[in-house]
Parts: sequence; structure tokens; C-alpha cells
Amino acid sequence: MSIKFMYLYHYIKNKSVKRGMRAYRYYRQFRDEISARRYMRSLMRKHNLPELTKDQINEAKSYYKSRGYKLKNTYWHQYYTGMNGEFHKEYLPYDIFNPIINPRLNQIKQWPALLDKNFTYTLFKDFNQPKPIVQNLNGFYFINDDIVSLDEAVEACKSYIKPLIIKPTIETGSGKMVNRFLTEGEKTSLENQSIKDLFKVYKKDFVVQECLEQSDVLKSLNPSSLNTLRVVSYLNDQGVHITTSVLRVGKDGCITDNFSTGGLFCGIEENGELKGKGYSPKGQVVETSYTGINLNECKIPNYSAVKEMVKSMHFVVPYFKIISWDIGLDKNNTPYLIEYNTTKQGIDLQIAAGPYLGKFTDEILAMGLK
Amino acid sequence: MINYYPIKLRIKRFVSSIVRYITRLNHRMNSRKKGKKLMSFVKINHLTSEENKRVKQYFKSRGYNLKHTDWHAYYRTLNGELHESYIPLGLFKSELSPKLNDKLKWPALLDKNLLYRIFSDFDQPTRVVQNINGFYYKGDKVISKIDAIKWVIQQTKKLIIKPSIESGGGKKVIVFKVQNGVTSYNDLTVEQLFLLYKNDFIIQEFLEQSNAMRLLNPTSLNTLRVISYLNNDGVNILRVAARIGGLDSVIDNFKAGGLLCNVNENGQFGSFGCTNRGNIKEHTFTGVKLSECSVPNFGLVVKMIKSMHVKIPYFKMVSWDIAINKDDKPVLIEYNTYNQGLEVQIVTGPLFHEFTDEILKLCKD
Repeated sequence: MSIKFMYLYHYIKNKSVKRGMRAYRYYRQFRDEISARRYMRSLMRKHNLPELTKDQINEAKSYYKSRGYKLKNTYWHQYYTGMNGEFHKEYLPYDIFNPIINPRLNQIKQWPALLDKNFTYTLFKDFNQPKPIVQNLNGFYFINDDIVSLDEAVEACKSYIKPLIIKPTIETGSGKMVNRFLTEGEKTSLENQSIKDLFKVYKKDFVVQECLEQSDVLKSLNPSSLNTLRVVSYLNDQGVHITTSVLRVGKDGCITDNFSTGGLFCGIEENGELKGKGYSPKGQVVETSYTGINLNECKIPNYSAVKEMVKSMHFVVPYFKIISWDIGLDKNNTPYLIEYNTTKQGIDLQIAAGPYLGKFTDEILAMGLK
Repeated sequence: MINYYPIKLRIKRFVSSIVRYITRLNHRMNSRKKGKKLMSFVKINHLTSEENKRVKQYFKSRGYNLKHTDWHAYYRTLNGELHESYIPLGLFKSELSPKLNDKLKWPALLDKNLLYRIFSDFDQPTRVVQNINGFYYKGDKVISKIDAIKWVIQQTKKLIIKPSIESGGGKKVIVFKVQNGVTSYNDLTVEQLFLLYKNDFIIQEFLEQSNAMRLLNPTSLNTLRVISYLNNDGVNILRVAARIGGLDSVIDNFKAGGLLCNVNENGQFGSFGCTNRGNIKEHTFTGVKLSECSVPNFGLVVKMIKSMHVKIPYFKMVSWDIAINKDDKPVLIEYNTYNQGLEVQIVTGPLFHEFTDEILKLCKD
């Protein structure tokens, strides 16, 4: 390769790198808009939701226009209003949040590393998390921060008599590939697979952790799943603020509590009391859980400790200004971090909790334009 | 709406292959540029056609196509030894490093501000104030900018400020003191100094180094560059080199005129050092004979590296910068995975040492 070519290459590179980055940003925004639209289409197909009135459409559009955004459609307002019967002009459309606001508030380049569920143990080592039994990081097996062989990893699982959870640690979400199992000798309760075969399914980057014994109050709502709190926090110069929070209750017989797998969302009041209504992805509004517990009479135990924990944890990762935290409560009602989300934050919880950004909507919308 | 998804998939595949090609080309071009600059200081004694053939054959037999042997000639010119297994920078950056080290983990885990959390069990320079994504921190607590300024003004010791991300090569590293609210760097106020860095920087106390290391060059923090490799048997130390700052320089980087010197497995310095201008020296700039030097507590350095590397198994090969403090204990300064310079080969010999075949094979699988 000639020297001339090398100089020509660097000349072209210097001239085009900024433009290339700008073009990539536009592409990413376009891609996220299309994904959001596709998601919306799938939601609209599933539900026969009433149209918004002309006044509601005008109100939503003029609200966003006055904040510098063009609301291309009001489907998201229609969806949330149709699901819970309450119209709020401040509902945040997913096609504004995901392509515009999220990348401005949360540093994309930090996502892959800091969201690795194995790395969460390092980042939040001062906070309670389900005990890891075996971790696989980049193909290496670890027990208590020490590298071990595959056989030692299998042995650690074999000797564990309580139920275990296995899940991937990167590119995860919506409860995908999260499995609970028991071991009996070399075998697991998952289709009678051996522990080694189970590890092979996950290849690398996964964690086997002990199954959290949850609080009696949350267990009573659905004993098959770990029912968690989804708490959304926002970091600004004044500190960390909780914008919204909901309780997620798994579907009967399901081990995950995700809304997308049929779970319920139930809004939480400031004092930890449930708002009394649960919303399912099929559009049902219920006042009792699948187990017959009246949601109105439920109060999240130790809710103030949950909020304090979230506030303290957010300071550890200031690269992200909006974070959705999944918090479980153990049998002593002590909060445990299950995971946190920045890249794929579902904002469907608006159905149960009202506008996603709460009283910070105006402030955050303004930041999204910077 | 047009059926966007099948089109997207095709475009994505096509773009991915182009991006891969451009990334490789970019690494090769950057390495070439760096090589040209380094080699311009030295009259290169090029390989004979037979040597050239032998080196290319060595890599070909391991599945790699070596485009040129300039790096081999460069290393041979400086240290007088030709080894086929020298690793050329272009090959390392474009083909080996991406396979050894998870690229997606680079930006976050190399943030110097995050090191205090990842390696909290290991000694690091005392942090005074950190700026992470625009937020000021004192310890693990967020404080206001005004409080951050006040806290820096109260410091009486020598301080060092550096960017915490996308840093390297000693760029924007400033050593300063504060007196009457004004810094010794161009008489800037602390607030003006903060403005120079905008976001993502760190202010630390300037480490008081071991007497043995300070004697090599008192103005700079002289560190060890330790290169470690993680495989199924654990952490292996590939190479160690001492980095000694140039006369009156506050940094010890090779690029900035520092001296590189091999350190053997017992912590004993090699007989010669080399500067980026290609000057071979038996003494430091302060007149200390290199062959008579050794690293205090070298065993602790090795132990520390082995314990730290398992914390970041996303990277199989890491270059660590380790200082020795006044109590002769090792202190982590930073680590590199993305911009690992290979110049150490001048003084240490081939980078991968006894693991050359294993690593070259690993990167081909």
C-alpha cells in the first residue's frame, strides 16, 4: 500500500468522520422511529381501542408543539387512554422517547458494558442482589470472583438444593431465556437436561443465581413469579428523583412478571399503597390479583427503603439520567436489585402509573432538544 | 407503509460487511501512520529478502497474511535481534485485538472514574474530585460544582488532573498545585481549569512514588507497563517494561519522550532503554545505570495484576500501568485494552512471548 494512499485515506477520513457520525445518528433515530411504529401497529391490532376526541388530539399535539416536538400521530395517547380510560396530554409517546429522549439522556456507548447483569454485581456491590452461584463471563466460569473449571461450576449447582434461576447477562430483556430449575444430581428439572447441557444452551455470558424468597405480601399476589417493583428514577443537578413506579405481578403459573408475558401492572402511590387497579396486556382492568387478593388493600412493605436504595444506586451510574429499576423484596421485606434498564426501557407502565416522566416531563422534554 | 424490514435486513448485512472492512482498513492505516512517524526518527535497516520471506512464512503458516515487515525491521534496527514472532501493530489492531478483547465493553470499562468501583479492593491514587457525565463527585457522593471548587482549593498537596475517557498518551494530563484559589497551571482559577475539561475528568493527589522509582526521573511518575493474558489456566504475565519520563517531563509516556526498559520476571531492569527517537541508553536521563535497578516488591505487582485481571474477563489481553508508592506497594494508575502500544517489544522481545502460537491460534478460531 503506497504512502500516497495512506495520506489520501487520512485526508478523506478527517473530512468525512463528523458527517458519517451525524448520518449514523439520523439513521439510528429513523430506525428507532420505525421500530416504535411497528410496535404500535402490533398493539393497535390486538386492541380495539376507542378513538380520541378532536379536542384530545388537539390538546396533545399543541402540548408537544409548545415544547418543540412534532407529534406525528396520537396513537400512543389513544393506546394509553383506551387502556386505562384516563387522558393525559403528557403521556410520553414511545416514538419520541426511544429515538429522541433516551439517547440524549443516556449515553449509548455505556450500554453494552454497564448493563451486563454479571457486571451489575461489581457495580452495585454495596447493595443487596440475589446471590450468584455460578457466573459465566466471556466464556470463563466464576464462583465467588474466582475462575473455576466447568466441572467445578457444575458441582456448585449440583450441591445446591434450593431452586435456581438461570438467565443470560447480555442483550437480555422481557424475561427471555429466564428459567427456574432444581437440580437432582447431574440433572436439572428443565426437561431433564443435565447441568452441562443447560450451560451449553446459554453458551457464554449467563448467571445462575439463587431464587429470591420473596416478601409474603408480594408472594400472595402470585406465588409462581418473582413480583417486582419497576421504579423509574431521574438524575439531575438536584439529585435523584422517582418519576413513576408500578408493581409487576406475573401471570398465573408464569415465573416472570413481565407485562409482555401477560403480567399485571399496578400503580404505586407515594406512600407505597397500590392504586387499586391492575392492567393486563390484553386490556383487562382488574381489582384483584389472579390469587384473589384485593389490590386496593395492598401496601408495598418497606417502600421508603426501596426509594432510598434506588436513589443511592443511581449515583453509581450517572452516565444514565433516566433508569428503570426492577426491585424485589425478600422474605424480610428487604429490597433487592434484580436488574436495571436504560436501553430498552418499556414505557407501557404509563397505563397504570400515568405520564412516564411525572412532574419532570417539561424539564426532560427540554433536555431532549439540546 | 412500505415493507421496510426485509429491505432493512439486506441493507444491514451489506453495511455490516462494509463497516468490518473499513474498521480493519482504518486500523491498518492508523498503524501505518504511527509506524511512519516512529520510523522517521530511525534509519531503518530493512530485512533481507530471505529474512522477509522467513517472517512472512511464519505468519502464513499460522493463517495470517503479513503485508509488510517494516515493524520487524524497526524492532531489529533498535535492539539488534530479529524474531519472526514480533507482533506488527497493524495486524494486532485489525485482527488480534478485536478477537481478544470485547470491543463493546471498551468505552465504559476504560473510564478512569469507574476504576475506583471496579478495582475498589486495590490501591489507587487518592481521588479528590471526579466529574462523571457532568456531575461532580467527592468520594461516592454527588456534590455541587461550587463545593467541588471549594474542595480543590482546600488541597495543599500536588494534584494531577486528567480526562477520564478517551484518554491516553498522557494527553491533557496536568500536574498542579493550588495557592490562594489559583492553580499553578497558567495561573488559571480552579473553575477555569474545570472548563478546560468540560465533562468526564478526574483530579487525584499526585502519587508519592517509591524512592527507587523516583530516582529514575523525579519529575514524572515512573510506572511499569505490565501486559497480562487471561486463558483457561488463569492470568499469565506476558511482558513487563518500566516507563521512565523524559527530563523535566511530568508524564512517562514513550510517545512524550519517555524511556522504555525491559523488566524481567524477577523485577530486574534490562541493560538498555529506548526512546521514541530510537536512542538506546544504558542510563536514565538522570544518570542512573539501568542494569543496576530493580522494581521493589515486584512479587506484589504480579499478584496484584493476577487478581485484577479476573475482574475484567471481557478482555483477554490487558496492558496495566502500575506505580510503586512510597511504601513500595503497587498502585493501579490505569489499564489499556483498546490503545495498547506494542513498542515494548523493542526492549522486551516478542509481545506474546511463550503464548505466541496459542494466541495467534485463538484469534483465528
